[in-house]
Amino acid sequence: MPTLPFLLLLAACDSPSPPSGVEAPSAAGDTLVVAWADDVESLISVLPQTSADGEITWLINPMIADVGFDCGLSFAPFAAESWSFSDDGLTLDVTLRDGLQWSDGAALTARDVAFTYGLAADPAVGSPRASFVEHMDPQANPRVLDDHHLQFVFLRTYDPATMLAHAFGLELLPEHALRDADRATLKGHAFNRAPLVYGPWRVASHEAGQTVVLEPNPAFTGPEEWRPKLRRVILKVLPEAATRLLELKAGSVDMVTGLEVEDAIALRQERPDIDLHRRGWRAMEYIGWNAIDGARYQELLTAAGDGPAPEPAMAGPHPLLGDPAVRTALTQAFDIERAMTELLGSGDKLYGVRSVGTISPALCQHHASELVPLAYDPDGARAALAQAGWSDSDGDGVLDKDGRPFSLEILVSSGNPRRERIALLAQDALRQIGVELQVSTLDFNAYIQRAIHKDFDAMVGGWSADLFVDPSTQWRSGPEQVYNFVSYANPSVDALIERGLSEPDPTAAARIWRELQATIYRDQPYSFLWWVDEIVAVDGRFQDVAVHPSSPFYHLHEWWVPADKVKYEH
Amino acid sequence: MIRFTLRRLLTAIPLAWAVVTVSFLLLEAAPGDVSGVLVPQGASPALREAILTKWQLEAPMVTRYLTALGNLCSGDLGLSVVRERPVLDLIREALPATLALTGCALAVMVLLGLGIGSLQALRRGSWLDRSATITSVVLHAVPSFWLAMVLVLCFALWFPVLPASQATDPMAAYLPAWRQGLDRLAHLLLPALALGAANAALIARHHRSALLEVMDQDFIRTARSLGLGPWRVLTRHALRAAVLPTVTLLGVALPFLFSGSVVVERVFAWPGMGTLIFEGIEHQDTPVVLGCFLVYGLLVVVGGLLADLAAAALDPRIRLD
Amino acid sequence: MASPPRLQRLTRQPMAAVGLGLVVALTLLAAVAPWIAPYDPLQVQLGPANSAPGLEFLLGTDAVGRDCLSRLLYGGRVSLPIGLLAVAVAVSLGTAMGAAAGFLGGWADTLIGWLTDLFLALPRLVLLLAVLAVASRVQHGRFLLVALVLGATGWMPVARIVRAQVMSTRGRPWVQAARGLGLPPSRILVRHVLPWALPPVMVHASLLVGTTILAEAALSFLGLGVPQPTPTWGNMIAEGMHRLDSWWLTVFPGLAITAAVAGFNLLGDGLRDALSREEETAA
Repeated sequence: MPTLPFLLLLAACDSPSPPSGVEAPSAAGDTLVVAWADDVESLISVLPQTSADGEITWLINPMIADVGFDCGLSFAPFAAESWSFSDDGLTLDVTLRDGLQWSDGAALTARDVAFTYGLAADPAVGSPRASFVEHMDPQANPRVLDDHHLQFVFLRTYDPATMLAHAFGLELLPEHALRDADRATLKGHAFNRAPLVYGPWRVASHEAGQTVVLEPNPAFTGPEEWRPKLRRVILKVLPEAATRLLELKAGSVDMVTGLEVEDAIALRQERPDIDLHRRGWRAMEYIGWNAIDGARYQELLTAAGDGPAPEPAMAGPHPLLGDPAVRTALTQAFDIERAMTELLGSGDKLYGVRSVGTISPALCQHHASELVPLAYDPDGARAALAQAGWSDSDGDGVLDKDGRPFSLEILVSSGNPRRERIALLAQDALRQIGVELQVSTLDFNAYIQRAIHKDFDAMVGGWSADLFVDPSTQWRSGPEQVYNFVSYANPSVDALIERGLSEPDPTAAARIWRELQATIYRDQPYSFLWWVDEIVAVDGRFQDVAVHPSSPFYHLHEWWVPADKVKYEH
Repeated sequence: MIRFTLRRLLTAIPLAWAVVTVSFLLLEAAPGDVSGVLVPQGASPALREAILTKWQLEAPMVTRYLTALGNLCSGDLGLSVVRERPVLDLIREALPATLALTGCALAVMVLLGLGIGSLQALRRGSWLDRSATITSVVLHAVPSFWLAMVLVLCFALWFPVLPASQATDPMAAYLPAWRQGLDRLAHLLLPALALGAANAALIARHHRSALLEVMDQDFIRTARSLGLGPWRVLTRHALRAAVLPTVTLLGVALPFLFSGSVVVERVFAWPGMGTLIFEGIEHQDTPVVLGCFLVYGLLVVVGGLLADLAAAALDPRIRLD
Repeated sequence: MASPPRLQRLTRQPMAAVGLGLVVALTLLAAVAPWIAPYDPLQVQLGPANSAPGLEFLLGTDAVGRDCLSRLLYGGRVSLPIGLLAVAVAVSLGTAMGAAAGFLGGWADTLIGWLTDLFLALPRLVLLLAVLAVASRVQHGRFLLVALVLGATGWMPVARIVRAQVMSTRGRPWVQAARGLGLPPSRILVRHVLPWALPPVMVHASLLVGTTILAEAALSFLGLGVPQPTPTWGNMIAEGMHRLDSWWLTVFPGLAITAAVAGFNLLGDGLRDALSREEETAA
């Protein structure tokens, strides 16, 4: 399962799978060939990982609980047999299953869990998952009681599901294999290419840049029902989406994730033998408007040198975008509904839903479904801009005020065609009301660097959906919040975040989050566009395919192929 | 022969040194702090210290240069800042695929070039000759990556008979060895064709005129008047004349082949050095880019040397030069 | 005093005429593109996105609905000038180097000869990649940077040609006479020696434009050339790679490149043939 904060949400499973139990599974199993965009680079869960890394790590060394989703996270036993909270809700006692072993025969114990969390907490490792231990007592994150018992002690209570997510969220690493590793170069460690595993799968081979072959782990000591039915799973590295689709159609690949909408629709007609699954509300897309003066902030950054980053507010508001009324006008000038149908749908099928914030609709209790998104109103937009003092005094088609034209640069990351199309659509829409957008397409690294340094006017971006609510990443103010790209700063929102994160009662928390979403939406720091479904294509011969919100390979051990449909005999 | 080899080696070594020096200069020219370029982002202070010491990044330029020279000669090309693995390891993994591709492209060049050139010479003036000349002109003007994509369109999309990407089919590993060989060949065919076709045109043209010259000579006419068929004449006398210029041309074409392999590898997702250098550029992984540049340069120097030696072995006159 | 041979009219040779015709046609098309292009090459419209060639959009549209024909025409305004500018740089640089080597001889000749060998040994594209990758953050002025870098890697054959010509000419009687008259060496070089190098350099320059256009296309294809949204033939083909089944995105820019390069190649060949015939008749 990929990084817990970036997991999926509710799946509206779109394709009909024949009921299981109709045909007995083949004894020898079949091979599933998956086309994937990135290569596997690091199988160490605490390090930054590509999407391929995340999926494979979760399969070979799962988390100690089986994480599910139903309007919110749910947890079932796996390596962790049972757990319970203390009365004050601050201590979590976990009992591990007996008899679990790593593939080299060493026993899996609580010390491995403690070691993994120790790595996450260690600044030398620089783990992006360090936030998991943020609210834990450093002496007990976790504390090992004996080989099969451990204890997490939290410094305060918050949403119970989130607390469990933090305690169960890391894929395990073997202490005896990595305890002497150099923590600064873990990514280069040999473990990444020949890992020890304890899960239902193991890495049989890895040819750099080409394939990763997974086979059922013969040394698997977990619950019997987790033993895979497939013979093997091959991840084929194909960076180009067009090539992945080509190989799917040619039959040399059985499964492709992240299909473009047009391709999915064409595939549905041409190849009814390929099932299309929908992973709902996987990510949201937006246009971010920089609230502060980016150019001035660059000067402050240079002046600060190697010291701490300066407070964004010190740069002053953005001369064009600092006013919420202006940002609202820009949102209203863009026909978002129409763009959504053009980019995410065709005919009866729409693979997206309008967004009003960063809390996904799948988190049923917390999502502010009562908020009405802004309607398309170009006349209203023009009027609002005129009221803010903008007019086309020189007749060149671009609004201006005090000699300054309303001209902005919008950043897009290359390689994602839909984002580029969003930028171009926005450019066109805003041109109608006299705002000039210059589209700068940058490669991802350059793009993210400029975003982090707040060196932009506008940006087209997206966020993966969170499985639990933590708006602090995007909306809390302060220079240390690097992902608050637009430098949104609203003290009432900061206060709501604090209250919401420490509120243990889910109903009370839901009220707080709804108020937060309404406040943010009023301020329009982004033009919130939509939540996108991901489309996954799997060859129809595979049964019991559960393309789950958390991962396209959810419960991969249950997938099987009827004996008469097996494609790869060997 | 030995003296000739030594002399050629002596000229090759300064070239190799020059390639290394240019790499160093490019590293120096990279914007920003050199340590920002060589040290991975998440590195601990200890690792940072170690890398700085090893490359003498705090010393004056001359010391840095000599240390870099020493490091490079001992095979240390630095750490990939993105993957935190030694660049040499990454190159070592990618090199066989590129060599396989380039080797096959050379074979395509020679076979196609000599074949078509011979046919043209034998049937001089015919429509075959003329259309082959026009095809040559076109092939020489075609960008290799575009030819690659057209081949993919034709043989992998519209008439799917050949694979569109990568060097092997992962499922082939479970098949008998001869089928694995066939699979590898099928994967090699389109990329090698894309890479070699343009230069094949060049060889065809030169071979055609070389053959025509040879065939005009008296002893050929004598042989033919004695009753030897044209093919016999061709194989016994003419081809021998063709070998030398072809070998020379191959040596000249090597830099272009390696250059072309970068784009062709990209089109076919070929797991070789072209993909490596391209990813290095995408992720601003400067040690990888420069390491690849160095290795490519050295490959060309070595390849040119081999071509010269082969030419000298074939033609004694060259050795006396 | 003899003067350099004039070139006969190329129209006598069919292939060269074709080459000349292609070059002239493409240059004209690129020059008048703003007037004849049916649509704005940057205009995005989602409705007709990804449509195959047809009546409304003669060469089809790309993923965001931009007209391919217009982009193709405007692409010529990048690819062709970069090629010509780069060759101008290469010829200037090569002539200077070759003249210095041929005229001064001695250490200058050895040094320049060695530099020429070095640059010839480096695979051009890989060198370009390394240089442009190091300069990747420079986005403005990319046009000039690419042209300069291409020119700086293409001068070698010109230097060789010029050096050979200079060395063969400097022993000729009129040069000796000019020397005897006490004319300054620079004047002798420029007025009496270099003009003889002009014809073979022109031949090679024409061929060089062809290879330079190919190199620029490869750079654009890899994303290191002039950045989007400006269309170049190379980055249009790169877009085509993302949507292989929209074959028109790939095919037409490639044909344009092929036509341009073939044109310059044929022109160069024609010049070479005309030149050698001139020399034969003059001899």
